[in-house]
Amino acid sequence: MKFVLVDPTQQPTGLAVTLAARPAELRGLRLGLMENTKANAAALLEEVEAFLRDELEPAIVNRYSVPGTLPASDEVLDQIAAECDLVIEAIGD
Amino acid sequence: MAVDEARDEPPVDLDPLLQAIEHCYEQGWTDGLPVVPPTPELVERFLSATDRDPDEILANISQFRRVATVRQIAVCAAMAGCRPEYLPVVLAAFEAVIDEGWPEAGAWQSTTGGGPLLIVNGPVRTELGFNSRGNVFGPGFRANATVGRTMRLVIIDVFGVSPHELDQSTQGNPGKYSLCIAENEEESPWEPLHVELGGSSDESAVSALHTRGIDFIDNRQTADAHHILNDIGDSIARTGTILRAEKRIAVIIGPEHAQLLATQGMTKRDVKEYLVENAVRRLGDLRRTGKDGVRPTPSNAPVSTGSMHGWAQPSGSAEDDPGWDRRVGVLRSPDDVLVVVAGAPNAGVSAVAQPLGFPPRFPGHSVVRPKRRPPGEPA
Repeated sequence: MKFVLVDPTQQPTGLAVTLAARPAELRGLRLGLMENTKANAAALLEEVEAFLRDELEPAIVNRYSVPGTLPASDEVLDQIAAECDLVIEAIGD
Repeated sequence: MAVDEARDEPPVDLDPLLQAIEHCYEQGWTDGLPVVPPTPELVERFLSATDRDPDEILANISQFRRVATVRQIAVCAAMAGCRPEYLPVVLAAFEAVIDEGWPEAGAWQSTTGGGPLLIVNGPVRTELGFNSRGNVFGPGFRANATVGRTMRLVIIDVFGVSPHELDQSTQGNPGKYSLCIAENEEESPWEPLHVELGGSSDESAVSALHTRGIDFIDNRQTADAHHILNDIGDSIARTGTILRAEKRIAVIIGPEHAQLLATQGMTKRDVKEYLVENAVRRLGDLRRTGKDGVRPTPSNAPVSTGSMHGWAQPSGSAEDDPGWDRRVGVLRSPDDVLVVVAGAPNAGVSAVAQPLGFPPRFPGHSVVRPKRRPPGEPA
C-alpha cells in the first residue's frame, strides 16, 4: 500500500509576481536610502552609501525614514518611487 | 479495540501510514509534531465542508511571492488534525489573521517571535466543541488545538516561513504551536467581542491578534475592582514589553474577576478607561532598564528618529531626583484595549496577551461562513 499525499507547499500555477525592471546602468541615478527607524539601520545605510558611492556616483541621494512596525503608506511609497531610480533599504533591529 | 479482541483480528499494517508521517517530517512540512498525512481524499472531505471555491485566493503576500487558497488552507487543516467541519472556522481564522494587517508587514519573520491568537465567538463554539472555560489556553480540546495549529502550518508550508530561515524569532513563544480560545460568553457579564465589533450574537466569528506572549495575573487577595485592575495594569506596563512609548493590550479576564468588576458597576468601557489611566510605570523603573528614552509610537508617515515623546528626563538628573517618580501611562486610549472573558469561574485568575505594535486593525476579524444547507434539510 502506498500513500499519495498533497504537497502543502505547492503554489497555484500561473500566478506571477512582477518585480520592477532593473536599470540597465546603475551609475548616475537618483539613489534612495530608506531606513525603518530601528536602531542601527541609519548607521548601516551610511556605511553602505560610503561603500557604494564611487561605484554608483548617484546624481542625488534622498533619505527616508519609515515606521518599523507598520507598512509604509502608499503616499510614502509613491513619493519614493517618484524621487528615486534605485532604493537601498535597511531594516536594523 | 481491546487488546484481547485485537489478538483475534489479522494485524493491520500501519507501516505505510508511519512512513507517510515520516515523509511529512522529511519534507519539512511539520511544526515538530507529527501531522496527519494529507491524502487527496482527506483534503476533498474538507473541501466538501464549505461552499467556497477551492481556488479562491485568501491572501497574496508579495514579499513571499506566495498566495494562500482555500484548498491550501484545507490541506493544512487536515494536517493539523482538524475535522472537516472545522474548515469554515479555519478559513475565518485565517482571514482574521490577514485582516489585522501584520502578515504583509513582516511580523511572521520578526525577531519579536509572535504568532496568531485566535478568539472564537458565537454558536460555533458549542457546535464544534471549542473550549472557553477551564484551561482555555491549554491543551485537551481538539477544536482549539487544531484550528490554532492550522495557522502555524499555513505560515510554515504555504508561505515558507520556517524557523532559522525566514522566521528569525530570537526566542519565539509556546503559543506559536497553537493559540486558539473561545470566549466564555455564557459567564461574561458583558457583551461578547464579536457583538462589540458590530456583529450579531447568533453569528459566529473569529478575531485575531498577533501575540508575543501571555502573562497571567493571579489575584485572589482582594474583592476591590480597582485592586484587580491595578494588578492587571502592572502586567500591561511590564518594562520587558515596552519597546515604544505606547502599546496595545488584550485582556482576557477570568469569569470570577469579570463578575467582581461588573457587580461593582464597571462596564467593559469602564474597565478599558481605568486601565488607560492606571497601566503606568515609574520613570525611574524605565531608567533602570535603559528604556527611559523609548521612541514614540510611529504613525504611518516618515518620522524623525530623534524625536521623543515627553518621557525622557534631562540627561544628568540625579538618581534621587523626584522626577524619576513620575508615572507614565503606556496606553493611548480605550480603543487600544481589547477585553474578552475566558476561563473557569473557579479562581481569581486573568491574563493579558501582549500584541505587537500598531497594525491597521485591532483585532483582525472575520465572520464564519458556514456551508449552506439544502432547502428542507434540518439544522
